[in-house]
This record gives sequence, structure tokens and C-alpha cells, in this order.
Amino acid sequence: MNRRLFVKNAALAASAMMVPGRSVSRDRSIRLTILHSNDMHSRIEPMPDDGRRYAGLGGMAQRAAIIKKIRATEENVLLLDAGDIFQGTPYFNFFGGELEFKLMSEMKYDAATIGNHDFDNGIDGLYKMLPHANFPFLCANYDFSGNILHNRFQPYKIFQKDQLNIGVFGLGIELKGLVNDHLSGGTRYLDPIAIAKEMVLELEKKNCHLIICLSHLGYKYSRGKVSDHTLAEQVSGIDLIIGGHTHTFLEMPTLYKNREGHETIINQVGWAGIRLGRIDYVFNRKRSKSVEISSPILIH
Amino acid sequence: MQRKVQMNKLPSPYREFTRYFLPGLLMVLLACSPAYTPGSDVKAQNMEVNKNLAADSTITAMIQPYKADLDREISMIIGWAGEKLDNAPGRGESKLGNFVADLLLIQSEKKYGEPIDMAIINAHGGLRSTISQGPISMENIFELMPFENNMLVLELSGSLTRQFFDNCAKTKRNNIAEAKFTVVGNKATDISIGGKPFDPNRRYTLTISDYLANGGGGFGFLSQAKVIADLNYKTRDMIIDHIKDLSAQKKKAWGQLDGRIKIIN
Repeated sequence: MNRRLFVKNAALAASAMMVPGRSVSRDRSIRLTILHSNDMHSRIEPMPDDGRRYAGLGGMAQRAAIIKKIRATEENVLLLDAGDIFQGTPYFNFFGGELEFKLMSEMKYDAATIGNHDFDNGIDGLYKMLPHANFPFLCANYDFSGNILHNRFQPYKIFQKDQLNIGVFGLGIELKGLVNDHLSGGTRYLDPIAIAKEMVLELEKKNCHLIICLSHLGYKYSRGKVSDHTLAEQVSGIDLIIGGHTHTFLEMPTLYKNREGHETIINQVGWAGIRLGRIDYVFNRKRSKSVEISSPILIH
Repeated sequence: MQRKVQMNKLPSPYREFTRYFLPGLLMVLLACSPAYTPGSDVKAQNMEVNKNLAADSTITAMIQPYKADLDREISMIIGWAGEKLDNAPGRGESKLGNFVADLLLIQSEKKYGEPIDMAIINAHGGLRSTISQGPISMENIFELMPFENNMLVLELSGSLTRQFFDNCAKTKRNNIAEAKFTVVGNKATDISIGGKPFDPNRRYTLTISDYLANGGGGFGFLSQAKVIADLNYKTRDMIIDHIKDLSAQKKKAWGQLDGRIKIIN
């Protein structure tokens, strides 16, 4: 390429970045809103109002209304789910997860990962439901080679929001003891720590400004089992872990600083769609200090 | 277009500068500035969702036909109970426990195609509701057995069989089919299986939920038992199918207490 042509191309590239009507100031900050759910367990309607625990809570139509309201004021929204979409109400027993996926598609979910209960109708049951989901399932540590789900899922996806690249990858829990062999159909579980390290390298190489892990490993265990805390401890580079499996209700996300000084935010919102998680970032071109999480004044 | 015309009026070197060099310089400046990083001030809020909030009308409309189908399915009457079938936690056998244990054995043998020695149901804990006298709806059975447990057939050695009965005696949460025993303290005595006294030198087959077989209810020792069949048949579906079978034969569901578990304090 001759020099003049190069300059011309560079100039074109630069002008392409100038979106009309927006300031191109180099100090411009970009807002990003992450909304998330986990372990919704087929809870389509709010919990029956019959005096049980969590009576009247949850409901996908109500969640959708909140999400719409947020989308009306926030330009850059990512809506994510950390698995166990299936199982828990007769909606799943009768329709196999069809309605869950259709509603999530209508709500414009950007991605979900796979939980152990998503295997409850076997790999065939999950496969059959996939056409009802218009969002990708991300899972980096399940090896489906040789079964029907082979090549159906991707390990990660990079979302472009304004000038930001947001890398999201998924991790699933060990299937042995949780999912019967005839349901998992020979799906192999791979070490989530080793895989997460590979994912971080890959996403950093692809210039991601934020790395999110959608995890169905569980928040924390008293004995040895790999959890979101283990992940934050052993893998530097993940900015945010959106967790599930343990049905943990966190009032506020946990900030975990590991030995290398890397800070990871871990959040989880119980189960059954009782809560919707919201995390707001502001990106700018300044070197940032230690992360501080605070709750916003606004209450919906 | 207009802008292009104006640019063309400029003398050539200026035109070159404005068109190519200036944006290029901008680009270089942009590339030199530090990359975007998430700011340190992160706002978070885990918001409650509840029925009092406005509902999205599109989602509500999408749910409606499924809800109508479901209401119809779930209110479907699948059979009749001749009497109330209730649990008796801590008191050994119960009408509900015996009814379910017996039907699990019948339906398991039907699916397995061979006789099975005995069946177990963790009646207290596993059966979450009762069956009332009169019509039985699908919804009743979902309430009775909300879990997605799957039935397995195990083969137990004599010593595992002994541990099996001792755990039943200790917890007093389980009901059984085709077996009898007496609880003295926390031990099972006077055990008979299929009408014959327990023989510690033979092996016995047992139909059981995967929940118990995987160590639930204090049955951790069953990990040493051999799984001889995964029936791929849910506990709930066995209950539903059995009540439907009874109904097809114009029979009602009845409970029976026959002294299969006696408790002596």
C-alpha cells in the first residue's frame, strides 16, 4: 500500500468512528448497564400468593417491564442469564422450556449459560428447544463432541457497545452427581479454572474493555468445590462474574481482590426471577483506581 | 455534495491537508490516548420483582395461551381416591406411603420386565402433599411429587440390605413394598422380604429414586450397590400412570395398613 493511500484509508477509518450527533471528545465517557438473572427455574408467573416463602415475587412479564424501562434511558444494555432456566413449574413439565426461551428472546436477552437443570430433559430435550431461543448460549468448559449439541454453543461472544468490546464467556458446573449420564449424553466437563485462564487471554488479545464470566459454578462452598470465589481467587482478568446455582441472594455484589491484586465483582440474584441484578459501569480513558461498588440513589 | 464542491474550490495543497492529513492526525491522536477502562465507581442494585409491578403486555399476551393449556391439563381428573391417603411421619407405615411404595413396585416391574424384590418411597420428605377422597387431578400429583426424581433398580448385597433396613428403622421416613420389619430402638428386626425371612447370604433387587440411591435420606452407603437398570421413568409419572391404570379398570385408589412396619419402643 502506498503512503498516500494509507493516509486516506486511515482518515476514512477515523471519520467512520465519528458517529453523527455525538461528541468525539477523547474524554467522553461511555455508560454500560449489565442486567442479569440466574436460576429462573421456569418461574414464568410470580410465585403463587398462597403464604409460601417468596409468595407473589418474580414474574417474567414484570421483569420485562423493568427491563424495558431501563432500556428507555440507557443506551448500552447487556442482558444476561447464568443458567438453570429450566425446571421448577409445570410450564417446563408440559412445554419443555419452549415458553422460557421464547420470552427471553422477546425480552432481548444477549446471552445465557447452561445450568445442570437445563439437562433435565436430556441433551435431546435441550437441542429441541434451541430454535425457540434467538440468543446464544455460552459455555467454554463443556465438551459436547460426539453428541447432538456439538457445535451448538460457543465458548464466548464479544459484544460491541458504542466503542467498547465486552467479552462474555460461560462456565458450567461439574455434571457428575448432578446430571444422570443418560441425560448429559457423554458431555465432558473440563476444568473451569484452566479454561477461564484461556478465555481471559483470548478476550484480552481481542481488545476487550470488560471481561464477564457467566458462571453456573455456585457462589462459594465450605469444602474444596470450585466456585465463583475460587475463580476470582485463581484467575486474574475477569472483571465481573455473574453467578448462579447456589440460589444466593446477595444484597450487594461481592468485590474480591486476589493475591495478584486483581479485582473481580461477583454477583448473584437468588432464583426464580425474584430479583433482577443491575450493574452500571462508566468507562473513560483515565487510569482507574480500586473499584468501589455503591448503590445508586434511584430506586425503581 | 455541497461540501465537496466547496473543497474543490480550495487550492490543491490545502485540499489535500483537509481531506487526508487532518483526519489522519486526529486518528493518530485518538490511538495514542489510553484505552477505555471501566471507572472505579460501579453502581449496583439487585432489584426485587413482584406481582404488584406493572406487567409487560407483550409478555403477558405470549404467556396466555400456554397458561390456558396448562390450566386445562393440570385440572384434568386422572382418577378417584376411595378415601383420604395421608402421611404418618415418624410413625412407620402410612396409607399414602404404602400406596405409593406399592405402585412404584408395580410400575417398575412393568417397565423393567422382570420381578423386583422390593420398593421404597421416602414418604416423609418426598411426598409433599396428601390425596383427598374423591377426584384426583394432575395438579394434586404435581403437588404430591414436585421433584423430578427418576427411578433406578439396584442390586444390594446381604449386608447392604441389612444397612438399608437399619436406615429405614432409624429415620422412620420411608415406606416400603413387599417387605416387613419391626423397629426396636433404632434397629430393624424380624425382616422379611417377599414373604420370606431375610437371608443375609443372598442379593436383593430394589426399585428406588435416584435421589435416595445417590445418598439422599442417609442412604450414602447405597453408592456401593450395583445399578442394574436406569428405568428413565420419573417417580411422578409412575404415580400418574398408576392412577390412570386404576381408573381404566374402574378402580379407585385405596390405602391399606397391613403392619409392614411395626414400631416397638
